This record gives sequence, structure tokens and C-alpha cells, in this order.
Amino acid sequence: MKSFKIKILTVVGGLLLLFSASCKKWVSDTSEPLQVDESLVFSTEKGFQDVLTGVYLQMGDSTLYGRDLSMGVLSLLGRSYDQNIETSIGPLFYESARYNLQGADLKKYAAEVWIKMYQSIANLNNLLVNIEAKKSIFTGNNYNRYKGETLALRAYLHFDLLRLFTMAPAAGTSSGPGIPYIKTISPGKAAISTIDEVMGMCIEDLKTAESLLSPTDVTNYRINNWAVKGMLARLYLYKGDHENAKLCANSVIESNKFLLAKTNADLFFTNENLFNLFLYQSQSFQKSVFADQAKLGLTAVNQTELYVKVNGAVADWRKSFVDPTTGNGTGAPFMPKKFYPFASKPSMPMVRLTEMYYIAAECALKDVDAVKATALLDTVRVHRNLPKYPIAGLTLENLGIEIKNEYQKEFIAEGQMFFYYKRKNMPFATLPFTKVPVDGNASYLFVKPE
Amino acid sequence: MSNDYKILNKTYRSICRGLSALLLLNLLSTSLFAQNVTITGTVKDEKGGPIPGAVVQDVNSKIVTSTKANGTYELKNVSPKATLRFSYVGFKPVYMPLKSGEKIVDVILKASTTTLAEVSINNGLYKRPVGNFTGAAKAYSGEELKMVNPRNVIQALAAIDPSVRLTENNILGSDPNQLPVIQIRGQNNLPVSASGNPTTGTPVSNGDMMSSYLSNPNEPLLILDGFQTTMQTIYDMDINLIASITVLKDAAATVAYGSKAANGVIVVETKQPLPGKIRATYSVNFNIELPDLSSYDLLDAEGILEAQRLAGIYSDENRFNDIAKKQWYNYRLNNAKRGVNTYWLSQPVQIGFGTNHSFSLSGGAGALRYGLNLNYNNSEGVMKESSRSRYNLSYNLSYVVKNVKFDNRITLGYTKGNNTPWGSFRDYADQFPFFRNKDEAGNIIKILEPNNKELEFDGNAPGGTFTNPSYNSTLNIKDYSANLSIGNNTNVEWTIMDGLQLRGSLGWNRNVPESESFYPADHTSFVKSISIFSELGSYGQLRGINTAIDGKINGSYHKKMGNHSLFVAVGGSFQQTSSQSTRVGVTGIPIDYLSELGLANGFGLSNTRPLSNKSLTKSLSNYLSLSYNYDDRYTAEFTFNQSGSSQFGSNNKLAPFYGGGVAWNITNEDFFKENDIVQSAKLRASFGITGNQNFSPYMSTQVYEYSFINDYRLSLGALLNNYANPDLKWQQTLKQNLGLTLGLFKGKINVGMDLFRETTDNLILPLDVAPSTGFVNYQDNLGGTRNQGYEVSISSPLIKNSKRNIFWTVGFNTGHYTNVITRLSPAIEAINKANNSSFDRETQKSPLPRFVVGQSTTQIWAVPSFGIDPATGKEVFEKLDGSRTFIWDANDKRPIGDANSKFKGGMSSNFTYKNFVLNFNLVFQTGGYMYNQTLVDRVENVDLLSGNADRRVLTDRWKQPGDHSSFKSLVSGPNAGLQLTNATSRFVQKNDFLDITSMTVGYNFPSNLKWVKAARLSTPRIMITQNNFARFATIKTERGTGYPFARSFSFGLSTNF
Repeated sequence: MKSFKIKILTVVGGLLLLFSASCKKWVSDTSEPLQVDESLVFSTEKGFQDVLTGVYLQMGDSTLYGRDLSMGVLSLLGRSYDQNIETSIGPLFYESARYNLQGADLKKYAAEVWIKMYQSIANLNNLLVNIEAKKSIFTGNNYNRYKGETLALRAYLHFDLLRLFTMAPAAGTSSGPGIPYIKTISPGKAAISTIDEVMGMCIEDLKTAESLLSPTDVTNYRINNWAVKGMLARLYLYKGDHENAKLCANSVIESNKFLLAKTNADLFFTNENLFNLFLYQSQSFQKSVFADQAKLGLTAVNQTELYVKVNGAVADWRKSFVDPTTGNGTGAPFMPKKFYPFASKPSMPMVRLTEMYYIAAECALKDVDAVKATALLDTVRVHRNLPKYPIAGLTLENLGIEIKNEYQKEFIAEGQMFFYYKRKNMPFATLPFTKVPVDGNASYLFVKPE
Repeated sequence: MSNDYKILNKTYRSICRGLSALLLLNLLSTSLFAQNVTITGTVKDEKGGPIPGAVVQDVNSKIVTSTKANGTYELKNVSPKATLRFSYVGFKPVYMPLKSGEKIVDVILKASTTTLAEVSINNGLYKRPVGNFTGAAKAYSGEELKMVNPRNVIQALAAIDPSVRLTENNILGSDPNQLPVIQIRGQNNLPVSASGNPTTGTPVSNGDMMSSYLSNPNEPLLILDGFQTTMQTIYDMDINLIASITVLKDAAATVAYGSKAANGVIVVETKQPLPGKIRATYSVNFNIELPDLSSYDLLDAEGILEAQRLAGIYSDENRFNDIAKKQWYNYRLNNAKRGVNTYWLSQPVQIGFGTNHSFSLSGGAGALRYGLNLNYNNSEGVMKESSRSRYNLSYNLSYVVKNVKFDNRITLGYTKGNNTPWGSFRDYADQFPFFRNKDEAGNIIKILEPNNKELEFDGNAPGGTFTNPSYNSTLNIKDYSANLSIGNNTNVEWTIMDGLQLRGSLGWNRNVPESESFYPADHTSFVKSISIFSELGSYGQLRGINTAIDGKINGSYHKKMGNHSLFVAVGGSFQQTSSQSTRVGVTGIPIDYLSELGLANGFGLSNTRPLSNKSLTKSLSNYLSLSYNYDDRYTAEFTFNQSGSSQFGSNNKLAPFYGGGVAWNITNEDFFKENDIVQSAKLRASFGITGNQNFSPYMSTQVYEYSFINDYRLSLGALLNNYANPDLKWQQTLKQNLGLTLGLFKGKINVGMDLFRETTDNLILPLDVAPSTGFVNYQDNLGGTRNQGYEVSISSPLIKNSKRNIFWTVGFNTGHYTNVITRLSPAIEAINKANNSSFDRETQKSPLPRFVVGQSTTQIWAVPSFGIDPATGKEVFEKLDGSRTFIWDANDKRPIGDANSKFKGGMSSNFTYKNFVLNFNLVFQTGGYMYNQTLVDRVENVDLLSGNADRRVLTDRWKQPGDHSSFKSLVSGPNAGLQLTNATSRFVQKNDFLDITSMTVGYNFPSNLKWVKAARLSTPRIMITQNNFARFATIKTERGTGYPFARSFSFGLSTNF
């Protein structure tokens, strides 16, 4: 009887042991159908693409490049509009028009940008963590492509965070505190690097990306080898390293991979751009800036001021403005026609070929090579239905102004002008189209939330 | 083909062989015991009445029979030297060794004075003898609970157990479709929602296991017949089926449940079918619910007009507007003078009738027993057309083969709760009495006032357009939720040898919840809507399925050797719950008889797409429990549990829990001398760590969310929204308990005392992280709370006279606990800050919670007030530095009082004289505070422009310098319709109350009555219960703002056939 009892207990005990050994596995195995566990996402090549796409989509958010880092807040700061600058456009836009970066709404906006950009960066970092372990599942050149794109986007986002939240090198020292450059995924607070260090790390990421991305792939709705080169040119120029900026800009121009447009069919000149961000909600974003309540735009007087006076011409393709509601070019045209009809071009240029020409021209200016600079500008002018400059070499002073003017015309309502003014550290008094007085403590510095 | 046939043939032959062998064996056994005798006799109770259905068994051969309706029995084949065992539920079993030659054995069974629970403690996993138990637990029989409240078993439990606290919902009042919210020994969690966590889902339905516990993280674990269940199931089940409810409180009692045990456990056992002849039991309960509107004291038509006038609603600085407003004043005054003074409160309420029919059949002989229960329960609420109907069916089958007992229970239930089409009760309390409800023809008016154009006035009516909520009752509105539940539970119990048992159980339960709400375009909620015509009217539908699968295996061994008694239980269980639901909302149903989802115009702007929800959890739990008792003096027990759950972080999938206790039976010691004061004394102490996993199932996994509305050039993107904490742990609570049970004055007074402390130190809270990490916050085990207190319960059988048949038992219980926050995460500071800004004064109309280490979670924070300045009528506040000010500032808030009461308790009395039963219960609470929100909202925070106010607005508010009043002056001016009083200590009031929760009168008809015999009834019984009979409270508040509270009468009748 006793042995029987012991037997029973042994069997039960043994079963329990087995039970607890296998239970850990059973318990861990719960998948969720609507949200997908990361192990499942990263089990296929497509999953990596989806995560990367997720970041592109996040970048197209209205807070980021979908609206406010392009035609919204940054274009108000970049002085693309002078029409309807009143309190009725809402506190965020109105504070932007007044350069009141300390204002409550702009502060709140800055925090949102910070969070969303870093969230995208965390997503990129999580992809990088997983891509090494899954190297074997990739076909063709995809491992290099995904990794290259990820690194390039990481640098792109960090560089814009740097440009938004820290002083431009031109405005002082670049050894001051910058932003955290996040390369891992963890809940711990990362240290803040100096501005120089951040630029260094951006360059490092971009260079790695450049080596990974194939130069034959010119798909421009994703970041590609040529966009990376363009980014490097932009970054070197911002840093004040004209030599490298020139090299990078010229390598893009001379590659002839992207050609300047020959017609005005598309005023965004989508095909000539190195990198366009596709925007799923472009229509509503554009409406919220150019129609509805805000109705921002450039008045007829200043359209002429910008596009026709000095070395401009009425025939400039870019001097196409329409009434946002009717699309007519007559009456009260305030909105750059490139947006009309809304969402006809559902993308936003992120790196343009023309910027390479302007960077190269600015570098030529630094080299005191007026003829080269003028020729570079002329190349673009011809493709914008403008005559060449009357002389082969403008004066250096005029060239500087012409480059600024071309930036203004080319990048209207794309947000780049803010970065131009910041890079040049232009005094607020010299900014064009100032309709409302600039705030007392105006600055080019967005307020960091942490 | 032929092969198959051969095999078939073979099996057939072997079955035949087996059968014939069995037959042979049977024959043999009959012949072997041929010399055995047949015993006959009668089984009676102490009063001499026959006991039908009593079980008579030969202890050795296990031959069994049961008594007939007249108490007689016949047991064949009994060995002449056998011992017979006579037993019946509620009676002490009697063992009778047969004397030689004895053939007739008459037995009188004595009613067992001890309840079931005192013999053994059932924790839902295993039963153990009470001698081997050291924990704090309390068992109540179903009859006891039914006596207190025949309609709501949870309310009954809260009334008689001091540790069970029911959270009263002042908004939903006595809504029959409102599930009770309870907690045992205080709350261990912070009422903080995990903000920023995208995976926190709202409960799909209350039948869903996971969401039920999520919606009340303090909810104790509910076990029904050994399987985890939901509050909804307990709330909707037939009260007549409940055999007992056991409340397990401390570590020793609960730790076998491991990571689910921290909130305590409530174990519900249903009645098992009784063997014997077929027995039918029928009970019916009628009940009446009366709305209790006594807490309302609203202004009449002329009164509110006067209050409005004083607040400056009918005057304006602009002369043109002033004229218009005066026109409206005169118009309304005219109506009031003509006698329009509508009592809106009575419009939506009714006397609710309810019936509960419960019928059960049970029977079976020998090895096979069965039970069938049918139940129909319909209860109407006090709001018109609100009701809850339940249909339940359950079928029990149990079968005993040798020492294996197999039993299976199938349950099928359908519940439908209709919400009232009359809308919220608040809308009626707010309505102005100078509006007419019906026009001359008796039709309900939809828009209560003509507009200014019709009346040719010069401006819009102050307050805008007023709609009549009772108009909606004339429309074809649908608003209900229903639930279909199906379940099958199987248990197999194998008694290997005396004291050694092996049990296995498997349960499968499924709920199919459904809810629909349809409001046609004509509904008053669309009157002020800015939607375009084609989007008026809305239809919402929710459908879901949730399933729980439970499995358990368990072995227990009990051995008594001399002075040593050993109990061992070992077991394991698994559970998988899954739930899914789809929610669809559509708009644009212009006509009210197009009440179909498919007839809507589209999704509208607000819904845009269907939503669905899905979740899956898996958990495992193994336990080993050892208990040793020496000489009925010393007991020691120890339980170890290992729990695993998919909810835990990947680094912490398995969690260990343990607990133990010791008990000392002082009165069994040699040194204890018999005396007249103390007859029994048992000291218990227990200690253990238990867990809580009532949190969102996906906080610990890193998940990508696909975006379907956005695409990137037609490809989808996935985004990581949370930082999953791989180290996330279950919340654990250290439970300590010290208990003393005393029997005094020869059973005249029984006392139970428990001292407890529950320390939780790793509450899951959001932690703010630097946003540059990419995430705003993530969940970590960061918080801590401590609850400590005591419970005392005294019961005293004052009169126990079985000769004259008088019994009177009085019970008293009370409990006290304090709650302290011991640890918080920095993210809570952000919540505190948001709750304490002076910026948005509107949200500060009530004292928002603030969580501070060292304070209780229920602390009321408000600005200290010196009262109303008699000179100005303004309130004088005290600033933090002690200075006085007229300006309210959120930063001056201080802890004013704790909403948690010092004492909560109850008293009960049960008196029986012959066949009469008189029972009453009351509960009381003292030492707690409450912010009298309804008072401040009706008297000071009143929006006179659009709603009615309390009478005290006119009578008790400060009017002129020198007035000493408790309410500040009415502000008059252009925006004065809306008066504003922020959280102030002036409205923090003592919340002491005494509630007579139940009074029951019952009568058991003697079975020798003529009509009883004629109707072949066996124990007919009638019971009248009145619930919430009266309430005496120090605080006067409007009770039941969205749904009134009710007083109820029940009239119950039950009988056996």
C-alpha cells in the first residue's frame, strides 16, 4: 500500500515538473492580431520594409514634414506668406509669423516635433537592432538598401532636430550643447552631444548609408544614394565646410542621374528632386494652410516683388499663383499654383536638385569664382523659363542676393527658407514680407522640451 | 472492407465477453451475500417530522438508498454486522452499528449547528479540514444570503461581511444594468489610468474575463464551482442555486491562486443534486422597486424664475437685449402664474416590478444523480422601460463508479438589459418647472418653448432652445445590451484510498455579448446638432465573443495518525482567455422605424470605420500546499505557488509566490482549565506574498501597429508605439494576518478578530521618460500602497430554546482599515499637476485626486475655507502660509478628509419562533468624509441659465451684508447664469450613515397542514423582504443623479413537491 502511495505521488510530482517546464513556452506564445508582435514583424523581409514605411508615414504627419515642417510653421517663419497674417490664423501660425518661439503654442509644437522625430528615430533604431540578427533572410541587395535607408533617415531627422533646436554654427560656437544623438533603443536618458559631435555623427551615418545604397537606384520617393549625397552637401554647408559641400553638390550635379525639368507641367518639379516625401493626407494639410480658416499666401504686390523685380521675369514658371478656392490665376491669387488642385502632387520635396546648384554656387562664391556661380544659377534659370543673367559674372555681392532670391522663389512654402535664414543668421529686421512686428525675444531657436 | 468487419466483430465479441463477465460477477456477488439482511426504518428530525431524501448507506459495502417522502427507507443486502450511516444536508450524520438480529432501525437526525464551512474550508481548488487551516476566511450559506437580499447576492455579501466593500455609484443609482463594484480589505491599486499606453483597451463587455478585471483592478478573484468567472456571471446567476459563498482574505487562504490572489478571493459553490426520489423545488420571488426621490429639493416654477432674475439672466446692459430678455421673463412668469409647475422628477420614473421564477428538479439513485435548474428573472428598474431579464438553464449530472466520481455541469444563460429610452434622470432634475410637459391635446412637447420669431420677441430665449427628454420615449429607440453564455464544466474525482484524492477539471465557457443603440433623427439629442440632415440619427452595434478555457489537476492527501494530522495538496491549472469584438457606428437614419443598421446613410464623420478589439491571455499556476496539525493544538501550513502569465514581461514570465501560517488552539492545552467564560480560543497568524495581474495584457510586449488609413504609395507602414518593458512584473502584495477566534459563555458569544496588513510595493505605474528615447512613458513596477486594519465579528445566539422552538441570533461586525501610498513614480507628479492647475477653473469644480506618498488614495484635497464673509458674501480661503484671501488658488489645496471610513460594519438579527422567521440587517459607516458634490452643484455651481437648482439657492445663500450663511452670494452679471465654486473644504462633510439594508419576515408552513398535504407540497415557505428600508445619514446629497436609487420589497415563496 505504501509503495503504491509513493508511486502515485511520484507520478503526480513528475507530471507537475514537466508541466512547469513546458509552461514558460506556452505562456509566451500569445500573438495579437491587430497589433503585431515585433518578432513577427521582423520575421520577413517585408516586415522591415513595413517598419521603414511606417517611419516615412510618420514623417508625413502634420506636425512634421506633412505640414508644419514644410508649408506650415516653417514657411511662416521662412516668410513665404504675407497674406492674411492675423490672429484668426490661429495662435500657432500667428506666433510663427511673429517669430515668438517662446510662445506657449510654439513651445507645445516644438515638444510635439521633438517627441515625434525621436519616436521615428526609435523605430529606425529598433529596425537596426533587428536587421543584424536577420541578415540571412534578405534577398538581393535589400539588406544594404534597408540598412542604408535607415541610417540615412536617422541622420536626416537628427540633422533637422539640430537645425531646429540648436544655434546655427554661423551664429556662434558649434561646441555648445546640441541634442542627444540616439543610436540604441532603451528607456534610459541619453547624453546630449555638442553641435559638432551631432554633425559628426550625422556625417558618419550618411557616409555609411552612401556606401550601402546603390547609386543606380534613383527611386526618389525613398531616400537614396543621391539624396544622401545631397544631404551631405547641405550639412557641410551648414557646418561651414565649403570644400566638402562643393564636392558633394558637384558629384550630384555631374552625375546627370537627375535632370532639370523642361516644362512647367509640374511646378514641384517632382522628377528632378533627389528625395520627395509622399504625403497620404496632403489634401487636408494643404487645405488647412491655404484654404479654410488660414488662407495663407503671398499678395500680388509681393509676388511681383519676389519674382519680377531685379533679375526676374513675369514668365518665370514659379510665378504662378492661384486663388485657392477656384484655382483661377486671376482675381485674388495668393497661393503658389504648385499646390493646386489640392493633392494633385501628393508629395513634398525633401532634397532638391536645384539646392545642389545653389550650394555649389555658394561654394563658388566662397572661392571668389563669380563666373562659375553665375553659370550654375543660370543653368537653373533656363529651366525655370527665365533668361540668363545679362552678364557672365555678377558681382559677388549681387550673387549673394541672387542666391537668396533663388532660394526664396524655388522653395516657397516648402519650409527650407527658415533654415536658410538661420544658417545665415539673418537679423530679423532684414527678413522680407514682415506683416506683423517680430516678437521682442524672437529667436531662431525652438525650445527643447527636455 | 472485410478487414474492418473483422475488427468490428472482434471488438463486438470482446464487449460481449466483458458484459457476460460482469453479469456473472453480479450474480456471484448476489449469491455470495445471500445471507445478508434487509433493513427498514424511518428517519426523522428532532421535532419528529420525517426527513425525505436522507441518505442511508452501508459504510463498508457502500450500498446506498434514500428515504421516501414519509421518511421511510429500505436497504437491502446489508451484512448483519454492518454500520449504517444516515445523513442529510444540514443534519449531523449518524453512524449506527447493527446489533445482531436488528432489522428495523429508526433514527433521529439532529440539525447540525455548525455550518458547512466550519467542517472544511473550500478554497475552490481543494477542500481541507478546518483543523489544518490557519487563514482568514468566512463562509456564508446561500440561504443566509438570500434572507438578506433575495435579488442581489453581492449586496447581501457586502451587508454581512465587514471586509467586502461595495462602491456605491451615485450616478447610476439602482440601475439594474449596473454591475456591482466590490473590493476586499481596501484597494491596493491607484486609480490611475495608464495614459500614453496605446494598448489599454476599454472593456468590451462585462462578460469578458480580462476586461471585467481591467475595469476594476481591485476586484477580487471570483471562483464559481472551481472556475474563474466574472462579476456579470455572479450578478446574473440564480440566487437559489447558491449553496455557499466563501470569502478568502489573507495569504494562507488565497496564496494557492498565486498571481491572482492579491485582491482576495470569493468562492461560490452551487448546490449539488440530491440523491433519492425525484424532487422538485419551486421558488418565486416578486419584487417591487420604488423610486427614492426624497433627496431632491428643487425650486418650483416661480422660485427658479426668481433665482434667475437675481442672477441677472433677464437683464442686459444693452437696452435692446434687455428688452428682449424682459419679454422672455414676462412670458415665462406668465406661464408660471397660470399654473404651469411641472414636477419633472416624476416623469421618467415608475414602480418597477420584478419576478424571479426558479424551478429545479433533482434526483437519482445510487451512482447516478442529476439536477436540472431553470430560472427566469425579470426585474424592472425605477426608470421607465429599463429592465434586466435573465434566462438560465443548468443541468448537472454526476455519476459514481466505485471510487471515481464524475460530474458534469452544462449552463446556458441569456441576459438582456434594456436601458431606458427616457434618458438620464439628470435631464429631468435639470428641467425648468415653468415648462409644460404636454400640450393641451396631451401630446408630449418636443421643443419646450416657441422661438423668438413665433412669439415676436426681439431676441433668443436665455439659455437657448430647450428640449424635452421625455419626448424620446415616444420614439422607437433601441438601447440594450445582451449576453448569451454557454458553459460546460467537467470534474473527475478519484478517491484512490481513504484520504487520497485526485481531481481533474476542465471548463469551457463562452460569452457572446451584443449591444445595440439606435437613436432616430427625431431624438432630442440631435436638435442642437450641427450635423447635416443626412447624418442625423445614429445606430451603434457591438458584437463580441469571448472564451475561457480552464483546466486543473489536483491531488490531495489527508492522513490522521494518532495526534498527527497531515494534509498535502498539489496541483496545477492553466487558463486561456480570448476575446474579440467589433463595434460599428453609423449615422443618418431619419425615420425611427428604419431601425436597422443597414438602413443607415453611412459612417458619418465621427465613426468612419468599424473598430475591433482582440486579446488573448494565457496563464498557468502550480501549487503545493502542506499543512500539519498536532493534537488539535498546533497547526502549521505552507503553500508555494508558481504562476506564469503572458501578461508579464519577457524576462519575468514565471513568478513564485508563497505563504504560510500557524495556528494555536489554546483551549486544547493541558494548562487551560475549563471555566465558564472561555470555552474555545484559537490564535492564527499568516504571512505570504500574493500577486495581482489585473492589468492590460499587452503592456509587456513590444508591438507594431499597422496604419490602415494612411499608406505610403500604396504600401502599409508599421509603427512601434510603446516601449515594452521586458522586466515588467506582476504586482505583488505582502499579506499579513493575525486572527483570534473565541467561543465565550458556553457558546453564547462567538467572536472572530482579525488584524491585517497588506503591503503592495511594485504597483504598475507609468514612468515618464525623456522623449528623446522615442516614447513618452512606459510601464514599470514603481508604486506602493499599504492597507492595514482590523475586522471584528461577534455573533451571539441569545435565545436557543429548542423546546419552545425559539431561536434568536444577533450578529455584529465592524472593520477598519487605513490606506497609505508608500511609493510613487515621478509620472504621477504630472497627473497631480494637471489636477491642480488654477488655469482651468471649470475642471476644479470637484476635488480632483492627488497622489502623495504618506496620504491615502482616497484623500480629499481642497482649499481650506473659513466660510462666507458676512460682509461681502464671498468665500474666505486660507493660503498655505496661513493668510486669508478671497481668491481661490489650486496650489492652496490641502488634505481635508479621507473618503475612506474609519469604521464600517453591520448588525444583524435573526429571530425564529416556531415557523416564523424575522431577520434584519443594517450597515453603518462612520468617520469618513465626502465632498458633497451634488450640493455644491445644485446650490453654488448652478447653471441657472439652463438648469433648475436646489431650493437653498433662494433661501440659504448670502444676500446682504450681515447675513451669516453657509452659501456664498449669487453673482449677478452677464455670465452669471453659470456660477462657479471650486473645491473647498466647506463642502467636505462627514459621511456617517446607518442604512437598514434589509428586513425579512418569513413563515414556514407546517407540513401537516391540510392544504399543504392536498397540494402535495413538502416545505412551503413564504418570505417578505424589504431592502434599503431607511437611511439615516449626516450628509444630505442628491442620491442617484443619473438613475434614482430605489427602495425595494420582495415577496418570496418556495416549496418542494
